[in-house]
Amino acid sequence: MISEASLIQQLKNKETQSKAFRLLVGTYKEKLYWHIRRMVLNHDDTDDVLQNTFIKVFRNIQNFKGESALYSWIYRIATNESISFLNSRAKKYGISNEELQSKMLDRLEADVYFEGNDIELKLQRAIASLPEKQRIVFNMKYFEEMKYEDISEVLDTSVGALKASYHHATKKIEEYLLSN
Amino acid sequence: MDKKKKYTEQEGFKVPEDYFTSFEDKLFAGLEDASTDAKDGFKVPKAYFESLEDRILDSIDKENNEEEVKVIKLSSYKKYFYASIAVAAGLFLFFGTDLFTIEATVPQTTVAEVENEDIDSFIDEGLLTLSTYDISMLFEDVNLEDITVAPEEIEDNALIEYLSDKLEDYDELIIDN
Repeated sequence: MISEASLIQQLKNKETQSKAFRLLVGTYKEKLYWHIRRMVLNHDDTDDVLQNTFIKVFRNIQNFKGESALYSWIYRIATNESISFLNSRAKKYGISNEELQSKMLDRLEADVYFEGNDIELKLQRAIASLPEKQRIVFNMKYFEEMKYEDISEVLDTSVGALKASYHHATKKIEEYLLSN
Repeated sequence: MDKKKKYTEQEGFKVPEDYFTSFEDKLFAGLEDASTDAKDGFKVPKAYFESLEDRILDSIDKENNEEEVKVIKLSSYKKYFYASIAVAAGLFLFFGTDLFTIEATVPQTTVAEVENEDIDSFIDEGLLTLSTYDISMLFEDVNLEDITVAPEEIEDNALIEYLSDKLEDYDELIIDN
């Protein structure tokens, strides 16, 4: 297995770039797909955001200084791309981000690529009711089972603040599920 | 009555030949195509991940080709755009707002009459064709660290609030890690 340092070096070298990039996409495509999908919910939108993420990684790899792990850097780009996408969608429809979340969930019920049962749909509604940051933290911790230290690198937030966010998120979800 | 015919043609309705013989195969093939992986209710089209690398590399190739054409086209446009802005700004500063009333025909509009909100909405509606990339190309020899912005006048909280309200494209924040 190739080391991260070697992969970065190959990504920056024009001659080895294409092969190394293919390897990078192969390594991270599924993890990033699910990370984005949990934020934008719809498969086609996820596909667009995922492609944009990898294109940005490719374009900016020369500027990657290795001050954080490559994995964290790519996750950060994916997270920012997803947030950008959601913001521009809300702006396009002239609605708030909260209204957009509700609209996306209504569509999710009719989505051919969603087959969740009532409980799963209810959980998605509860997650959608969270503020953006708590929603991201909850997804990364609960579904993606990431360590707080890794989430901290991606979101540039202290571990303490992340633990507090996750705690608030789980409380709110619990309350939502009990009252709905 | 021919039993086979009974089941393939009923009350005028017809069914393609061999429809029922191959029905199971088509049904299960269709089901396999519909999805493979699923997580907490979310499904992914079959073979989606298998073809992903090729599609992303194709997109990058296409973008690279388009960008080469785009840069040549915009650089010539940019010169005129900024030259006209510079001339207008120069005249405006030289004559002042009172003298700089365009006595042209209809509509009679002066620079001073253009509200900042109108300029904002012009940009918001995407009528300004220059992208962040084009602007950064224009200032590629300018080092950000050399620009002084009187930081004491901008409170951190105000800056964070402004960025969370206004910033949509997060590219600028991820270029450096």
